[in-house]
Parts: sequence; C-alpha cells; structure tokens
Amino acid sequence: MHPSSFTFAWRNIRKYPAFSLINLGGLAIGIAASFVLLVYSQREMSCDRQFRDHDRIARIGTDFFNMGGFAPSQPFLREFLRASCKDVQYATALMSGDLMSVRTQQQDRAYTAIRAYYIDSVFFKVFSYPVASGAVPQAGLAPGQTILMEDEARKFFGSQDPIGRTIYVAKENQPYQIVAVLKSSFQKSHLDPRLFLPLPATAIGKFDGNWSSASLYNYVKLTPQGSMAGLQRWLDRLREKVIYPTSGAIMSFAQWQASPKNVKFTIQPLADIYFHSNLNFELSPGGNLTQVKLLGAIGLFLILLAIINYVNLVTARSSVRSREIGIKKTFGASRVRLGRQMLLESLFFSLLAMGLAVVLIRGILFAYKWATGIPLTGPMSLTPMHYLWLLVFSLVVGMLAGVYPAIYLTAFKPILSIRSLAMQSGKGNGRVRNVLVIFQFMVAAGLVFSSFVIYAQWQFMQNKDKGLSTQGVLTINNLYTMGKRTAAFRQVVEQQAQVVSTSLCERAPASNDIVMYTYKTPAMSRPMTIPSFPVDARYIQTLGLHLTSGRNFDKDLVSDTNSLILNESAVAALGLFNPVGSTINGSERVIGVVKDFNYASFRQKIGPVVLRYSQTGCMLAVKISGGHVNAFLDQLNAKAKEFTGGEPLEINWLDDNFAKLAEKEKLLGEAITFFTALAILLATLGLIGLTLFTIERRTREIGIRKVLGANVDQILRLVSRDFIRLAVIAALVAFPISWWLMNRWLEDFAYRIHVGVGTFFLAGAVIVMIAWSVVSLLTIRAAMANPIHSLRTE
Amino acid sequence: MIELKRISKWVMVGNKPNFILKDINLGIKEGEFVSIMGPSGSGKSSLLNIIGMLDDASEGEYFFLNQAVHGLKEKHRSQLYKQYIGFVFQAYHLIDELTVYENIETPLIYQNIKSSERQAMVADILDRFQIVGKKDLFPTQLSGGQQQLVGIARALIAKPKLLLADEPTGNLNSRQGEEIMDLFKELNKEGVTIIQVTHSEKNAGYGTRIINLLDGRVEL
Ligand SMILES: Nc1ncnc2c1ncn2[C@@H]1O[C@H](COP(=O)(O)OP(=O)(O)OP(=O)(O)O)[C@@H](O)[C@H]1O
Ligand SMILES: [Mg+2]
Repeated sequence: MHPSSFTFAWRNIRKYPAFSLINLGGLAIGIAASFVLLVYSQREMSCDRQFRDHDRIARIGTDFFNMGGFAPSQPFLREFLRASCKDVQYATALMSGDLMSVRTQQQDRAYTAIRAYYIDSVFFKVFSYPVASGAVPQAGLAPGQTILMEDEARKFFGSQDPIGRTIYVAKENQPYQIVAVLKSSFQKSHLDPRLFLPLPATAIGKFDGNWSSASLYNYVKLTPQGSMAGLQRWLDRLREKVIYPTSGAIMSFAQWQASPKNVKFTIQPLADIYFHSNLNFELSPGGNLTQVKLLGAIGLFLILLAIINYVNLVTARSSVRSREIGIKKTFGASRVRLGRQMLLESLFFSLLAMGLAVVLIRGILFAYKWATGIPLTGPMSLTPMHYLWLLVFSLVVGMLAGVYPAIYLTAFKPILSIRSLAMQSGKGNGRVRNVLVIFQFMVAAGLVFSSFVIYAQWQFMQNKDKGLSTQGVLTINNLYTMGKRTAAFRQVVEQQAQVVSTSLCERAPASNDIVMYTYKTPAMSRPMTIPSFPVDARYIQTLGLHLTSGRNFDKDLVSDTNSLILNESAVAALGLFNPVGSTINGSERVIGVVKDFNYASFRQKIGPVVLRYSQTGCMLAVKISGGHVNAFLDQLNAKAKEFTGGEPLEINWLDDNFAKLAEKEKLLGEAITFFTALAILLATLGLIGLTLFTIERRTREIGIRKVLGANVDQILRLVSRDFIRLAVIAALVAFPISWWLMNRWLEDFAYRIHVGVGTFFLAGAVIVMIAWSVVSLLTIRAAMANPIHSLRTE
Repeated sequence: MIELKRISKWVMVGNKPNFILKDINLGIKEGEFVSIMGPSGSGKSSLLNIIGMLDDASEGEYFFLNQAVHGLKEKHRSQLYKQYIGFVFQAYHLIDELTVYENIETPLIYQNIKSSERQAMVADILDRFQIVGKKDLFPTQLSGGQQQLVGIARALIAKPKLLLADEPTGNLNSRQGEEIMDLFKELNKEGVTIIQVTHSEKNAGYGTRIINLLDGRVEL
C-alpha cells in the first residue's frame, strides 16, 4: 500500500483536527466508561465465583418462630453434618466477631473497628483463598495464631515481613502470632475478612437440644458426588427425626411444621448469596441486582453512543471523502480494498482511543469516587488480563464503528462522487444520521428522566412522614459494659442540659435488632408472630410516636408489666375492634394504640408492631435538642468513661439508621446520575461534531440568507431547528419507555412517588436546552460573519 | 440616489495599508443602468459590496436616498438594504436544499411579509419570468441560465429600487447572457436602477453609463 492506511488515517486526522479530536475523544470516553462498567458488572456478577468448586459450596441458614430467617444457624449443626451427612465433604462454622481494636505493640495506638472472623480447621478447605506469604496450618489455626489479609498486613507493618510477628487484639490485648497472609483480591465476595482468629471451642459448646439459636455461619462443601438435593433430604430427615421430637411430640409432625415452633433451614448456593440472600444478620450488605443490570445497560448505551458518534462524523464528512474515494475508484481501486482501508482507519482510530481510554479509566474511577464518596469497583488494580480485554474490546468497537462507513462510502459511483457530493450524500445518508442522532438523544433523555425519578424517590423516602421524630435521637448501645450502674449512668445523661428525654429499650427503629413475640386473641385459633419493642414508659415521648388512643405505660403501675401498646396495623392484624382494654395471650392487656411508624425498609408496608413494657432495656435512646452535637458527645463520653471502664460509647443516630435503609436508592441514583452525565457528554460531543460539519456545509447558505436579509437570530434558529426537532422526537420516544421501566422499579416500593407530567417536561427541557445551547454557541460565529467572505467566487 | 464621497477601502498588510479602493467619488441617479468595468482585481466587487451595504468603506461618506449610510447603525442599515436593494451573483447562490419557489420566497420571509401576500408575490414573478413550471424543482435540476433567472427573480421579489449584479452572466453562454441582459434592460425601463459589474463590452452596451475602475480608482 502506498501510502499505508495508517499513514493515510494519520494525515486525515491532521487535516481535520477538530473533527478528529471530537471523534477520538468521544470514542475514548465511550471505551473507557463502558469498559469500567463492564469490569464493574463482571465483578459483581462473579461475586464468590473465584472460590474453587464454588458450585459445591453452600450456606445453611435457619428460621424459627417465623422470625424471617437468619443467615447464621445453630452452632452445633456442624457436628450433625459431619457425623451423618453423606453429601457433605467439609462442614465449617464461622463466627463474625464484634468490631475491635488491634495493636502491633502493647502500648501503641490501636487500629480500631476491625472485625475478625473466627474460623475452624476446615475453613480454608472450603474457601480457597490464595496465600501471599507464610502458610496456612493444615490442622487449622492453633490457639494464639492468626492470619491476616494483605491490606491489613500492610496497614499494620508497612513493607516489613509480618510473618511471625505478634498482634494484640481487643482491649484485653490478647496476643496472636501471624502465621500467614492472604492475597487481597480484585474479586468480590460476600465474605469480607480482615483477620482470622481460631474459633474457640466454647462457641460451639455442648449440644443442649435447643434448636432455636443462630450464632454461627455454617458453610458446607459437598463431595464431588454430593448434591444440594441430597443435602436438602438430609436436613428434612434431621427436622423430622431429631428436631421435631425435641418439641415433646405434643402435636403431629405435620402440625409442628405449621406451628411457630417449627425449625426450618435454607440452603443457599454460594454464588446466590450476594444478590439473592436477604436474611437477618447477613455478613455483608448484599448486592443490588437492579443497579448492576442498569449500569450494565448504561455501559452498553455508552459504547453505542460512541460508535454512533464515529459513524455520524465519518459519514457526515463523506462529501469530502467521496471525492477521494471516487478518484481512487476511477484509477481502479476495488470496493473491497477501499472498504478495508476504511476499516483499518477505524481500527487505527479505536487503538488511538484505547490509549487515551487507559488514562480516562483512572480518571472516571477517580471522578466517580470523588462524586459519590464510594468507589465503584472496590480496589481497582487493573491486571494485564484487563488490558488484554481492553484491547479486544477496543478492536471490536473499531470494527463495529468502521463497518457502516466502509459499506456506505465505498458504494459511491465514481463519476457522481467526483462531481458532487453534497447532493448525493444529502438525502439517504442524512436520514440514517438523523435516526442515529435521535437514538443518542433518546438515550440521554431516558437517562436524565430515570435519574430524576430515582432521585425523587430517594428524596421522598428521606422526607416521608415516618410516624416518629428521628431528629436528635441517638441510641447508646453498649450498656452491657456498665452492668448494674446503668441506672446511675442514665441519671447522669438526663442531667445534661441538652437532653430532652431518655428511654431504656431493647430495639431502635430501622436497626438490625430483632425481637419477636407471639400473640393470640381469644378469637384466634393460632398465635401470630409480631415484631415487638420491649420499651419503658419514656419511649413514646423520646421517639415522638403518636398515641392515638388509650394511654402510655406508667412506671408506677405494677400491673403495667403485662401491658401492651399496639400500632394501628397490629390492631387490624389481630382483628380488634375496641383494642384498648382487650386481652391478648390470656393475661396481657392492650392499654393504647400508636400511629404506624416506619421501622424497616420502605419497600414493604409498615407491618404490625407491639410495644411491650420492660424496664430492663439493653440500650438507651436519648433525644437531644439544639446544636453543638460534637461537643455534647465529647462531654458525654468523658462522663461515661467511669461507667464503661474506659470503652467509648457505641452511639447510633436514628437518622443514620434511616439513611442506611435508603442507601441502595441513593447509590443507584448517584451511579446513574454520574453515567448519565457521561452519556450526555458523549451525545454532546457528537452534536458538536455534527454542528461543526453542518455549519461548514451550510456556510454558503448562511451567507446567502444573510444577504437576503436574515438576522443572526434567524440564522441560529435555522441551524438549531433541525437538531431541536430531533431532540424533541427523541424525548417523545424515550419517555414512554423509561416511564414504563421506572414504574416497574417503583413497584417494589410500598411507599413510592408517582411520576407526574412535570418530570417529563423537566427532563425534556434539559435535553432540548443542551441541544439548543450547543448548536447556538457553535453557530453564532458563522451567523455573525460577514457574508461577502463566504460568497466570494473563486 | 447614490452619492459616494471620497470613499476609500484598504486592508492592512503587515503594517502598511493596502488600498483596494481609493478616493472614489461617484453619483448615480435613480433610473440609471450603470456598468462597472475594469481588469480583475481592480476593486469592482468591493465597490459593489460597499454600495450594497454588505461591507463598510474604510473612509469617506456614502449617501443612499439622502441618508448617511456611513453613520447608520447595523440594524438600520440592514433595514434599508432589505427594503431597497436586490442582489444578483455570478454564481447564482441559490440554496440547494430549497425549491425554486422557496428560494424566491426567502427574502419575503425575512421582511416579515404575511404568507398569503408572499404567495401572491411569488406567483406573480414566476408568471412574469415564465418559470411557473419549474417552481417545484431544485436548483441543481436547472440549467445555468435558468438558475440565474431564478436568482434575478429572487432579487426582484421584494420590489427593490436598486438591483446590484456582480458579473451576472459570467457563468452563462452568450445566448443565455443576452436573455439576461434583455431582461435587465426591460427592468430598467420599468424604473429599476441597475448597477452591474461586467467584463464584456457588449453587456456594458446595454447600460446607460460605464464606469471604469483601475487599481481602485475611477478612470475618467
Ligand atoms: N478582505 C480582503 N482582504 C484582503 N484583500 C482583499 C479583500 N477583499 C478584496 N481584496 C483584494 O482587493 C482587490 C480587489 O478585489 P475585488 O474582488 O474587488 O476585485 P474585482 O475587480 O472584483 O476582480 P474580479 O474581476 O476578479 O472579480 C483584489 O486584489 C483582492 O485581492
Ligand atoms: Mg469581482
């Protein structure tokens, strides 16, 4: 070839720097952003699949008293599995510790809030963690031994070799010797180990016949011949032959299965846990499949936008290129050869774009973390494998982008294309280009609309009347450190000027706490399990619940130990017509009713709740007024030291609890907004290119019209009119689709917004405004120019 | 009608002024048919552009219908030329994307003339130029002579008092050129003042006066 296609492509880039830069930039942004989303989706979707034989690994959860299911299960289940389940090769029990401190020297400052996993000897037989240094003992961790993750080892010891060193754990400064360090992996897992400690024998304890407990996470690895179905059959037999008999056999097995005493198990294949498990006491917050799917789709859209930009800009320039191609054709170049040249050119372009994308990927990840505060993909260290993917991905994009121009441009009849040009390319090709531009605006409009809806729902959840007042309410959760001195501590708290009221209780709304009791009215044949809040007489006041009838608990009434206050849903669920004064469970009396208040996810309707009188809460709810919260907390902590034996207070704000409930929506909103901005950027780049091209093509027309008396306004309208029309059509097509999708998303919420016409108009206005301002800004120079320059005859 | 006093036009080359027009004094009365002649690069087009208010002179005074154009704001000036001046170009400068009808209609749109009125005016002129049958064609579907006819129709549609034509027959064969010149003569008889730039003595002969330019000056 003479000159080579690449030289030729390079010359073309230099000849049209503005077009080329826009084209290259658009392609690079598209490649980078969609690659980031590809890696993100892949990482999420393959969560936990990095473990060897992951399809043979499962977790066994349990449920009893209809409490909604627990991720952990009975501590001694492991022993039963090992003893008699033929399908199971290894059964391991894991305990998740409390947050605690770690020191590298006894006197040193501590690294705080580190969670340890307590593991047994076969944990690493089930979970194949790669070892970075040292060796995992074959017989499991001996007492006093520990294993760290790479990140923690680096945090504690910097670049020094951690093997053989000692760390001091928790406030007792218990020493552990490091025997191995595990590789930190880019892969995601529902397990989030920081450091491993040996599981103490007391955690499993002696089998006491009590199947209503769930404290250890039981994982099994099946034998190569074993099956989940076999495990299920074994669990069924266990229920019938071992667990049912412990209930004293006062009812038949069938009756027992229908009663709240019934103990159930769930087998969760390892790879299903992350997205599909929603049990109490999960080890880590689960993944959000909606978000992964949506971002995956956006990734696809982004690369499509970038390809469309390329196709549009290349074919828009076809009036120029057709001349070159026509001449080549008259001198005998075959269509195949010319097509190959176009393809090579787009491949060359996509490789250049890839080079730029490598830089942009870091930029996008950094910007994402900066904008949302949370990294999109965890620690993103791109491996050589990723770069190989990126190369393949870019080449595929280059092929896709090159195909249409190659077919389209080489189809010109040589004579026509030498002569001209604008006429021939004007019509059919313009239509294809319009469709592509409409598609770009559609994606942008749909995304803008969707992010508006998601944000509105999030806002709604933030501002919804929750039936209680969260403002300035905190709970102190580690009263257990105070023992008998809790009452004295409470007095100290109440003496603080800022404290409005306090309440001893066992449960805060929107927290992880679970308390369930069964209730049965005389009219009911079977008791009902209802979430319950054991609280003292100040709870209603402290949390701002609304008493709608009856009265509050009274600490001076001895009879109130058997009193209940129901929420409105509980009144309905128990079928009470005159709730106040009615009797439940034989001896308990309803003394009041409170308005329904939110205590769990907004996705579900507020269910029945019972407040039970109790004076022995494990946490203290405190309502404070006024500002200077930090100063208040410092003061409180200083006063508390003497009661807790030096431990800092564990404090939760109710507002934070509720914010956590809406976190998925917040993250989704932020992620979508971020990538919507990128999509708009891409569509805008495309628009800039097309506008520049249009202006170039229409300079003469603009000149003529000015001579005929058009003013600047009229010229601007002339050029932007076509684009705005496309934007409006795109918005009209995009909105029904995204309206339908967003409604499906909203269906999951019991408490949701209804999307009004205003949202359509707003999103439409955003898109049209962007189109209009881009086009106008670019056109204004051409519109102001003196027409005699563009009309001078050569 | 037109009064040019000491009009000069220059562009700066380096830091020396390079004169395109120098010290032009010229009066043109209503009803004249003036031909401007001169070698290439002598400043004919530049002079026409200044008369047509598309360009400013660097120096001098220009009165059009007794108004001082050199003192007018851009907006008024464009008002003035929209109302009184029509342009015809050597390269026709029709808009390729518009039909003959739409091309002719365009100046009326920019003068905010009502749609029904526009229809009547365009129909009149199509009729007069005998191009009714071509009204739905695009410029590329016409011969050069026909295109120029459309260009002239467009220039006349708003009934200007002054028609400016820069080598209107430059791209046409001699028979087509003659037709255009006959048309100009007829228009002139009806009272339209015409200033044309031409290289052809024969075409200049159609006019009532010839102005010769050489190196930016009027040759006497
Ligand atoms: N904007 C400008 N900048 C610099 N030089 C200019 C400009 N406009 C015109 N000129 C120069 O002024 C001179 C006169 O140009 P003009 O177009 O008026 O000539 P002309 O008589 O119309 O020639 P022709 O017969 O070839 O059309 C030429 O030398 C031209 O190069
Ligand atoms: Mg000229």
